Amino acid sequence: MENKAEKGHIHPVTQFINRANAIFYEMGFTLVDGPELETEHYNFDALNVPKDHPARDMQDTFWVKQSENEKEKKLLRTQTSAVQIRYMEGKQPPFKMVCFGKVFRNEATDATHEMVFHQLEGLMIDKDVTMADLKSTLNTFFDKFFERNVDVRFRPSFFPFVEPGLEVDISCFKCNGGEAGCPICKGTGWVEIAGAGMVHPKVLSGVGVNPKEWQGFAFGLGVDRIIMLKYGIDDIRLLYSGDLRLVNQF
Amino acid sequence: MKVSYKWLNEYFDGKLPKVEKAAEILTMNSSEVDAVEKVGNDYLLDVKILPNMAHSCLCHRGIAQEFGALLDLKTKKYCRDFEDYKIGDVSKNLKVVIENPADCRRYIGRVIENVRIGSSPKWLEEKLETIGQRSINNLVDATNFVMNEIGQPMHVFDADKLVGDTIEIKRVKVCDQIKTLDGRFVDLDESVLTISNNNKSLAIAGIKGGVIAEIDENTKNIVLESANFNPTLIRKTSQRIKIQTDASKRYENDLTPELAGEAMDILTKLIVEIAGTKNTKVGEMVDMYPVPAEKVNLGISAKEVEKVLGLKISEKEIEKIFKCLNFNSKKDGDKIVVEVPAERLDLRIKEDLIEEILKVYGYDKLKDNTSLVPVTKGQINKSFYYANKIKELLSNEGFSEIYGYAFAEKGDVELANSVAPDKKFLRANLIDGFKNYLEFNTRYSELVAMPQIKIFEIGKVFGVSEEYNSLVIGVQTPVSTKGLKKDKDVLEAVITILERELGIKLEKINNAENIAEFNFDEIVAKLSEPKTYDIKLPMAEADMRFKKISIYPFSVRDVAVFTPEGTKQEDVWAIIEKEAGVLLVKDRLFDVFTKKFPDGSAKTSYAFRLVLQSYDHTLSEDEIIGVMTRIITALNSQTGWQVR
Repeated sequence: MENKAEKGHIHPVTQFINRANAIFYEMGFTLVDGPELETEHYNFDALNVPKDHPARDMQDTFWVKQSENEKEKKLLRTQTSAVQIRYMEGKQPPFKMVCFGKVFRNEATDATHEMVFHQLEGLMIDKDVTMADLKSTLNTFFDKFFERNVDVRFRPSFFPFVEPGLEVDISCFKCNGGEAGCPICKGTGWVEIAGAGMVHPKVLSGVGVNPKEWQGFAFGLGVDRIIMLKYGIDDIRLLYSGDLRLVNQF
Repeated sequence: MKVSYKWLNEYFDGKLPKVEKAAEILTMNSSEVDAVEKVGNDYLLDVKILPNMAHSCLCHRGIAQEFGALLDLKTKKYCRDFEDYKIGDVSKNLKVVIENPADCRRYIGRVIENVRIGSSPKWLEEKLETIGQRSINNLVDATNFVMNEIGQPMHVFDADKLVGDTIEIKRVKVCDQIKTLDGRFVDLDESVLTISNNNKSLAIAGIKGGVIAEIDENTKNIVLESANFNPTLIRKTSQRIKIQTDASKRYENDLTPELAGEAMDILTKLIVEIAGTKNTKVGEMVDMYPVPAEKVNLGISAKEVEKVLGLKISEKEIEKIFKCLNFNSKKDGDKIVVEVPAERLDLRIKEDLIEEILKVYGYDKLKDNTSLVPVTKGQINKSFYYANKIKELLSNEGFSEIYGYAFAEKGDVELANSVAPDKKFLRANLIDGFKNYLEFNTRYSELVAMPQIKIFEIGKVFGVSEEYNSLVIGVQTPVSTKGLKKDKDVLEAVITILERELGIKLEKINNAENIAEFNFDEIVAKLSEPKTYDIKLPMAEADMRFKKISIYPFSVRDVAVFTPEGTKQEDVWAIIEKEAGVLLVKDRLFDVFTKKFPDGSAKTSYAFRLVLQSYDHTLSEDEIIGVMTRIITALNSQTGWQVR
């Protein structure tokens, strides 16, 4: 029986971001925002994604129509990593920030793909921030977020703005160990949850931070996918269709 | 990349672990294996090669070398042995002219005369079939083998179809057309690099061969090509003419020109072996290589490795890892200097080497930093704080938060590559979308237990000169619903609450009778800096599961029952829920009152609104009546209860 009709409901993406931010805030990370309409420089060049490089194909981009006299090409950000660049520019470390927001990909939509979705990213730069710090940061976050002890596992991956690059898996937050037929991990015991790595020296030097002196990690995760897994939402498009049949369940 | 397990295993004389284990090792330490499929007596592995690995790993040898390093196994140079050939006198005196070394970094041609075109040996047919390639003839199959073995695309021309002895690698001078091997006509202009002879285009360099010098069943004399082209040029051309081939994919990921020489050598050996006759003559390599690739050395110290990984790996261990990777290295002070293999274009800075070390050492050995000192909290984000403050105030007033779509039919910022006419622009305001969202949701007002739809959104909108955050609030009552406060009044009342709580006046930037929109960023600018995050928004239960939305219509029924005073609403509801079963998707108590009867007794009336819906069919009137009858009967059977 539902009797909370008087109170409204908060969208699950907001709920996610709030929980995540509360955890990161306690860990010393500051929430930062940035524009959704970005320049090619911040979205690609400054993130070490060279022009005419196959790495740009990893993300299909929405471009904005522009008049002749506008010099720089504008696009809808394909990743929130652009916010990190804007944040670091003109400042000196240490940095500890998270950002979240909409990102855009020009790809066909279906139950698991939407042109608009949300990312959460984090960045930590200091004198001697290592991959061990990355692992413990993610471990602490996921333990608190899922309110249980989850294991973090790294695998090799590639993102132009980090080196080494990592794929991050966590032990299944539902069955915690590979229950056959678990709807979340499909019985593997692991859930792919984030991309991460050590910030590429070129990215640092590009924003005026000396990579010989400073180093650190960055990570990013797809908010929608985690929400869908956590609550069993079967169609990502429901999140952005203004439909109370979804929102009012939360 | 399609990879044959058997083919890989030949590099190790069968010493690879079983296929599932091998796939897991690759996934955990090198490249993700998407799928393993049994093909004949072999297995096909679908390996997702990351962009930085694509210089060296779009071939069996590259992946075999990964296994060699990860498993500390000796990796053979090739999957099989090749026999040597002798250079002989050939009648054609091949000349190669490269117009611009920036377009073509190396071109090796070689004439072979008196070959026998025919079918391929079984081993070769099988290899290609496993990886999903049809066997064509021994010559074409040999080129495909070399590409899949060591990653270098190769091409064969019919030497007798060339005019004169010269092959030129040049841009198209006069707009031209080429008929490709698969029968397509492609227009060529000066942006396209071609392999040309006698001013005719034989092939689109690095992408696709043409029919002019195509080999056929009568081919006897051939010219082999092993070349290296500018990756950006190949990529741009391939995208523009919309032809992507196994060759173009490899070139656009950038290959070392060093590979071309080795590839020519093994292709020659293989062709002599499988297409040779006693009269076969192999000409010299005609190798145009204007600017040889530079050798790269990279140095790293154990301290530098530790500084990034947060893990102590001894110098000795690092040297051993480099040996596993088949890298030549030597000590220089505290550095270990590695001669980077030519094909490893991905190894250019010390962090690249650290990744190699980590792969072999094992990602699973990375530790947590347990000595992380307690930290001070982050700083408060003012905009985020007030967004939540407003969300809190609005949700307290019964408003739900929605996320609308970022694209719109009209606006100020137009997309250059939109996907649909109604998604051509970025939304310029939230009010337009909100009219639809309100209308849409009124259809489901009972299903979502909101007799009057009350929603809001805070999100980016895009004006001519800037993007900013906008706040929109809307109220709409379904036409069929009566007796509620006017939408307009509900809206004004909630705005008044916001103004009171925030302590500022809110200026509408857009409004309709039942919708108001505000510039959220301007609101925030007027507010004071918050000290802490002290907002509690309504949250879903941690173990809440989303109930799938049914595509079938729902029906609404009311039931009201008099119960003896003191009966709890839970008791009434328990009976309703039990009788309604799975068809009850929503319910709410909409009226409750207690009445004194003339006989002195007091009874409490509970009125519930029930929403019935099925996940697999439209409910018939009979079904609905059936459910309601069961509920009413059950309620009436309680002592002193009476359905009104």
